[in-house]
Amino acid sequence: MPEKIKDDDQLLRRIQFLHPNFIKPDGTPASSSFSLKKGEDGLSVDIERLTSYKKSILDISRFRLFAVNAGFVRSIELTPEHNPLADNPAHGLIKGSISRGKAKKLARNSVRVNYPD
Amino acid sequence: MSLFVNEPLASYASSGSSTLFDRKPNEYSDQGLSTVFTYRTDHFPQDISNLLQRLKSFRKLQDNWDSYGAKAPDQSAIDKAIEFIVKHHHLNLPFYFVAPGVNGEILLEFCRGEKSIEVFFSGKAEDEVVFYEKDEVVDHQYYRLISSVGNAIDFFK
Repeated sequence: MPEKIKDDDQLLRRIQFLHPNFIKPDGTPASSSFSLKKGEDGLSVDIERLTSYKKSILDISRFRLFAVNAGFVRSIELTPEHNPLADNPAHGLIKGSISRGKAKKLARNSVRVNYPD
Repeated sequence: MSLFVNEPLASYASSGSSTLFDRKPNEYSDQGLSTVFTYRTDHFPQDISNLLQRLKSFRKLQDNWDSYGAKAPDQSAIDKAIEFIVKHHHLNLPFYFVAPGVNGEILLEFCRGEKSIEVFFSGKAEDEVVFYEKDEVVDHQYYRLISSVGNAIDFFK
């Protein structure tokens, strides 16, 4: 059963950090990490309170987690939704028109999760 | 004339025209690319050399490199980004970062203070140039990159 996303929920997105590193020198991910693929109807995230960092990160040797606040997502006229999958009940989508500008705002306002280091 | 990079000798394919690079007969005809230019990396500033090395590393990425189903970078988009950097690195532009996009495109970012430009090199579609001030889009255009270089230099003045 999908849950309501609260404004203070944190939405987790995996970013590759090795071979090569997609985190910029200022510590934020490239905007392309928050862009939609052609035909995709939402940007996949995990809802932090419904998962664990260990599960969300998938491959600790390749990825780090960045969190974006659900209230911020709404403030730029995008909609966070819970979209549970059979193998990932914490799965969510950021829906709406994610333009280049909005992808950059999502990236710039995401915060690196201190896991595992 | 040859340009020189941080490895003994590199050859890259290009479909664009240029007076900066030695041209050779097409060695990559199976990729649909028309010409090849050569350069070495040891005469580039370190930051430019790092960008070129990163771009080269993108050639190894495969589909789903981001775990969310991203397409592998388009080889011709990588070629275009490399040629653009080699050709324009001497200009007064704040080259900052390169990254692959989820649809096979290549992102080249310029950044100085609160101004930034994102250039998206595409294999087949038009290239995109997005101008930002304080993270707000101030211009978004699709056009031949050669005509945007002057705009970019002016933007960062």
